[in-house]
Amino acid sequence: MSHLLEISNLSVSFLVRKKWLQAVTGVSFYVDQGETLGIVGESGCGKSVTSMSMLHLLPKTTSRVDSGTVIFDGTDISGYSDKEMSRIRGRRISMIFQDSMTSLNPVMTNGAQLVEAIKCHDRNISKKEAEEKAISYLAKVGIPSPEKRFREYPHQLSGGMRQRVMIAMALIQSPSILIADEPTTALDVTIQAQILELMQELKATSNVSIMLITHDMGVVAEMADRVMVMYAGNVMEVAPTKEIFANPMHPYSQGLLASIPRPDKTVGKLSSIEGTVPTLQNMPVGCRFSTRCSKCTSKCIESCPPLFRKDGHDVRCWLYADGEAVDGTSC
Amino acid sequence: MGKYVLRRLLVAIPTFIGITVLVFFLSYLAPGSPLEMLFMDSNADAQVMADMEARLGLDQPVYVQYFRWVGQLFQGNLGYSYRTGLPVWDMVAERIGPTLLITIASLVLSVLIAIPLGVMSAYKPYSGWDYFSSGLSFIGAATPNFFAGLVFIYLLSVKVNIFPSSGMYDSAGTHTFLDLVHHMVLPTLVLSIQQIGSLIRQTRGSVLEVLQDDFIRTARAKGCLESRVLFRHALRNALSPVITRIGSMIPFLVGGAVVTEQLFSWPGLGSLMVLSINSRDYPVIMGITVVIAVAVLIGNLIIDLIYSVLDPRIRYSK
Repeated sequence: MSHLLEISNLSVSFLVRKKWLQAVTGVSFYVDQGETLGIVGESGCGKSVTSMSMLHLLPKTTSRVDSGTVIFDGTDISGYSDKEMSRIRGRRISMIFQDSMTSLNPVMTNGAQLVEAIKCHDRNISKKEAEEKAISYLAKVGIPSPEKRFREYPHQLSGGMRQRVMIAMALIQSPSILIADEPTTALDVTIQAQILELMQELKATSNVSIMLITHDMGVVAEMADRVMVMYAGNVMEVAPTKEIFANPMHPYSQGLLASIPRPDKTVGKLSSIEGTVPTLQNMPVGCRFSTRCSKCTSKCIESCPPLFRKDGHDVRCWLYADGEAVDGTSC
Repeated sequence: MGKYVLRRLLVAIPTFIGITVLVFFLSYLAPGSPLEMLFMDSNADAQVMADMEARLGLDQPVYVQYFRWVGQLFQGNLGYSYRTGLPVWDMVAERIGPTLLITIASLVLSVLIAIPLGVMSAYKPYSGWDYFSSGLSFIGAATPNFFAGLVFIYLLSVKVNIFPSSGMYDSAGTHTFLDLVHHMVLPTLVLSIQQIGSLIRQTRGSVLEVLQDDFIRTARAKGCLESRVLFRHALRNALSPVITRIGSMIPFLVGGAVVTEQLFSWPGLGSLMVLSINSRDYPVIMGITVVIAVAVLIGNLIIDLIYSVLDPRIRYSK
């Protein structure tokens, strides 16, 4: 079965003080039609870099893709030029970002930015049609008095409303995939819930696939069909959402889940994973989690494990070496 | 929007009053009495001098002199030149055209050259383009205009006689537009050089900063072409600080015009200013200063209006 989006062995480096340092190493995953894939991990683990590099949105002067293919809808788009990519971006694969306060252009009206998202891909559409479509999408994402909001500027809207405008803009071309890069992180909890609900609704009506990048396990539990856990530029574990919450296999996944505060249980101290993520300059030779892992062995320090497939999970950990190795070592 | 304009206009009024106070009292404090200039002859009759002093109102207390001067000012009377006896306003009116001509021309030239160069530098930092325009901006900003003027005259008028070194028209007497443009080239260039330098740097820095902004990423992510991202999204947001820089250029342009006009014998306000300072012609000095101050005030008002057109957040703020 072929997947809607399939990424293989993606590695991305950044230029830091005249040296190329790899931030994402050998990342492979897929997204199916109508599916929501949650990508979780700490800040700086490569979640955003992975999605941005797929769309060629990383700065060209300070970043480069070392390896990897991105097969979208049967075509390898990894070698596409800017011009070819601009036909994919916004039309086939859309993206919404964390900070809705700064993600909209402050000197253009909301309407003009929506109309632009239509006209960039469809030059023949009349101004009136484009405007009507834009207003209908504002209504669709639950913005009251859309005609008025259409003429207003982003600074006249609240954070939640701005994120709705972003969502309307992302979905206006009916894309196959929506990449949501921490879409609710900057919003307060009630607005968060509303935005997530809206995304669920829109997904149900349009069958769009969602790549949901977040560090909020609660959001993942609510939204995702499958979860991919990333750490220090590696995929650590991939499994269906229910599976990963019920039976996390990788010590890092276990640590992440244990760190979720439980309001129903009184505990003296909140659980956490000791230590910090290694910097790009000091990546361990072996397993990248070995410096913080409570189950670390000498093998973990010496060599990096491949992804092992076991009980429906793909896990990058020597503890599961009895499973089938699904990719080469790629640390 | 209307409210914003009105507020800007109201702020201009106390500024203008402040200018008149400064101009008047600084001239008053300057050493040497105008009477000495009028009567170069040291044997002048004391009675005649006293009469003249009374006639010019110089025997009155200073605040009376000030209010009399301001009163006349609001009636459009800037007084009479001690040197020529002509009304100051007529002398200024005759000279203001040529000055506005080269200052506005050099403002336009600076903007047309500096903004595209600055945008290119910012879009491809550390490229050949960037080094070229950065080099140009350093040289430009570091070259005093009297020096640039002398170099230009030496190279382009003396060595290779392409452009005339002085005046507005040929001495032949026919005043054609082409002749005027031909004479304008060097003074306008000289006046522009420093402005171009600082404007390139401002534009580069400002566009470079805006290109890091999240909404640029959004514009790319929705499939806009690079040219649209750069000119529609980045440049427009980057323009506010550039406009500020242009606003602060206006007084420098006028100041620079004083030197440049002198250098190229350009019959503008600047050369009249130098002439009047040398002959302690206070009414003319004060008149020119007030006119220049008003020009700068109007310039800043226009800048404020451009701001509000560019940035809706200014327009709507209460």
